[in-house]
Amino acid sequence: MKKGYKGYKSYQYLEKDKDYKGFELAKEIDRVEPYLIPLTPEDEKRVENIIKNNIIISLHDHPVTTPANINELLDYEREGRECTAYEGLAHSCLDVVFDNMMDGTCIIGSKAGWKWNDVIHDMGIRSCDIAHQDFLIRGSNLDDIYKAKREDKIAWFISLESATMIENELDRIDILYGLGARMMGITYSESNCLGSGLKEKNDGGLTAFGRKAVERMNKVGMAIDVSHSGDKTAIDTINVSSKPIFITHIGARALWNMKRLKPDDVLKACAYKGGVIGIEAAPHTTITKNHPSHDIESFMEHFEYIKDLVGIDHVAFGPDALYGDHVGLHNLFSSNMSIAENTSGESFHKVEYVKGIENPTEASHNIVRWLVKHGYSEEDIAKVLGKNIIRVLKEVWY
Amino acid sequence: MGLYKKYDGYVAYQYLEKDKDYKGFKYPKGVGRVKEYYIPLNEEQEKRVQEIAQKYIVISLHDHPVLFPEDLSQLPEYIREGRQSADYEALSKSYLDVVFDNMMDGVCTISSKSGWKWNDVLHDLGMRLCDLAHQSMVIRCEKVDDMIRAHKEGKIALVPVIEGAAMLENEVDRVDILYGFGVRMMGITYSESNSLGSGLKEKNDGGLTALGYKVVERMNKVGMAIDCSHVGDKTTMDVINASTKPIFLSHCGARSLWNSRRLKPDDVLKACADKGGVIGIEAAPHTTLTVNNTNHSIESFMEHFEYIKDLVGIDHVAFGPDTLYGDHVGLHHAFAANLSIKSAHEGSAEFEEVEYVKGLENPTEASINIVRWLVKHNYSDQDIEKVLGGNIIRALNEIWV
Repeated sequence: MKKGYKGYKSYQYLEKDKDYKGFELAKEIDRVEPYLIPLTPEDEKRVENIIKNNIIISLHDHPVTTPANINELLDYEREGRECTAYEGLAHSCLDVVFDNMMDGTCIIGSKAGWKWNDVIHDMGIRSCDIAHQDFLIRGSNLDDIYKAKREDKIAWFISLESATMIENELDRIDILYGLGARMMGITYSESNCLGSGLKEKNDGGLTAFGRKAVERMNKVGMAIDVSHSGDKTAIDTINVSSKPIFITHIGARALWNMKRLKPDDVLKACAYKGGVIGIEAAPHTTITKNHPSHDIESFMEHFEYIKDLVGIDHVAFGPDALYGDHVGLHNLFSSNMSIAENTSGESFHKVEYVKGIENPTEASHNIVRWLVKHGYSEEDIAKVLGKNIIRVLKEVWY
Repeated sequence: MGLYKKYDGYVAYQYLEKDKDYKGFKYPKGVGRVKEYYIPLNEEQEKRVQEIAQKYIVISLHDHPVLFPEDLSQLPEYIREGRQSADYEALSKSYLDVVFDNMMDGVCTISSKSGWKWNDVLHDLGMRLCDLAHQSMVIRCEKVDDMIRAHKEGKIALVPVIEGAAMLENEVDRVDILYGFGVRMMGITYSESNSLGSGLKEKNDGGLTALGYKVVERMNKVGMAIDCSHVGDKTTMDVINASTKPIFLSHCGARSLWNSRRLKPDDVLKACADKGGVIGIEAAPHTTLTVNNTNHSIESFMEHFEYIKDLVGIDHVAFGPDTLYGDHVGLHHAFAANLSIKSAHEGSAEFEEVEYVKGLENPTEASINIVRWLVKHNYSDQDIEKVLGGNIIRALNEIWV
């Protein structure tokens, strides 16, 4: 366990059920049967050294706990206090996590979500909780990453999966940056003022306003993500941006035909610009024909395909995992998150959870273990665990 | 390092293109807009001033270290643009290690006429913090350690403060949200009443409301400091009694010396000190006047300091000059209604309007002259350390969790 963790629990500075409604939360550790890739003693030793000597970054996760009874999820989200899984994170091997907050479940004050006030609420409440402990360091620059590694803590960065809530206000990019956001998606799966989401039948590309927003994000130093954007909008963004961009949580459509994954030309364009592609592990996304049941093997097939396509310098991991029943969450938020439109394409085996990458902790360990088991070099492992991302952040962040 | 700031030459919003990404305004000089005045000292005193500025942490408990347009008729437009410009260069010439920055407060009329809207307050806060994140001399202060670090490293720790809680409306959780974004002090009301309690302009003061009690409790739990400078007397007393932690009167003076609602009566000042709190002396134009000095200057300001020090003891006094870089008197005229200027002065004796407060014209001049005045008047090192910063840090060590 990370030494920086001293037992803090979310919102313990308040009185539960007096100051806020408490929920019985899912277990952060071992909610389902844990699975660790079996290794030889020699490989175990190698894993230990790799974890010690490298900066390990999750480019996309939701390191929060959902209610144990997933049917309480809507009430939980409306309460506006997602609980950070400090204990779960303490058991991970992550040094840095890009926390994508409530995203499509940000329905604190509206049914369809993504409202400016709600996004701010989510960011502010989570940041307030973070400010009451010192294991997660509120990240604003690269120094915070190095500091976290040194002190056996985790640097926590706020990402927003979509720019929907900036509406038509460019200055909100500055405001979000000032309030701590360091990465933002252009769209979620639905279109907005900036461009087309991946669910659309027609993709109009980046809008006039979207172009201005990309320029402002470049100037402010806010990293750009197009994971949920339509293909044309993603390509336009890559072309317009003066800086490399991220596709933080994605897989290859060439391996599995669904809108939620990206075609080769988009992946190549991202890499060509210097960007980095994080591999996605949310349930029923990175499936393959060889592994129609979603697990770490299908996830890693996407990793290897994309690595071979764009080169080892442009790949990383953004598992998009959480602590709780992710499949149940998808069922409840199917409409808000355009799940049906995302997954249409090919039939697959539904799983209860993604074996080996069920939560951010398990994912972090098994990614390292899988790479070691498959004989990746120290240098390549260092790149995909963190170095590639840091290279881009050095260019992108102010 | 208090004396030598590591200024990197940054000018507000230089990460953007002026007049393309935002409307630029012509600003006066932050220091030197009007004739500078520094209290004359002898050689030995000059040396002592340097030593003190270097050795002790100097805190302004209340200021607005931002520039206002040279042409004040542009003021509404400047505010609506939503980008107040911090004067980093002027701050680098101050003695300040820490500044409690009170943001737009009553002039926060970015999208409304009367101000204090939740979205506007967040806009102001986020925009200023974005600018801050693009330079290195001024650091965002989250805890007392940041103050010590700033003093050591030749930087200035900026504490975001919101002067009134009107934008909470009826949402207690907004205390947490503001804290999450860096706000470490908040006023209960501005001069006008809100859902928490009565502002100082009111004829009747109903005291802290039921919601107000909840907010005080939440602020205590979250670890956000409380300020009652603009709050009515009864509401202030209620806050002091309800709070489990000391509170601040970050910028005020003594009503015993000058009968204005903007200043506090002895019993409120004493109650604040009894609870362990700290009173910052105010220097905004035409506030800390006295019968001896009807012309507002550092002398009348310091008369308030000494009166309150004698009333509550040296351990409970500090300085919150409430100054800015630009024409503060002109700003008061332009925003007289929003800032309830008239009712704040109600009942006071006649005074001459000044163009600016001599010796305390801006945060830089104020920080320097406060030290000079204390040295000139032979205050001990120990007492100077307390009033410049020690008292505030003592209270914050209890309040900030």
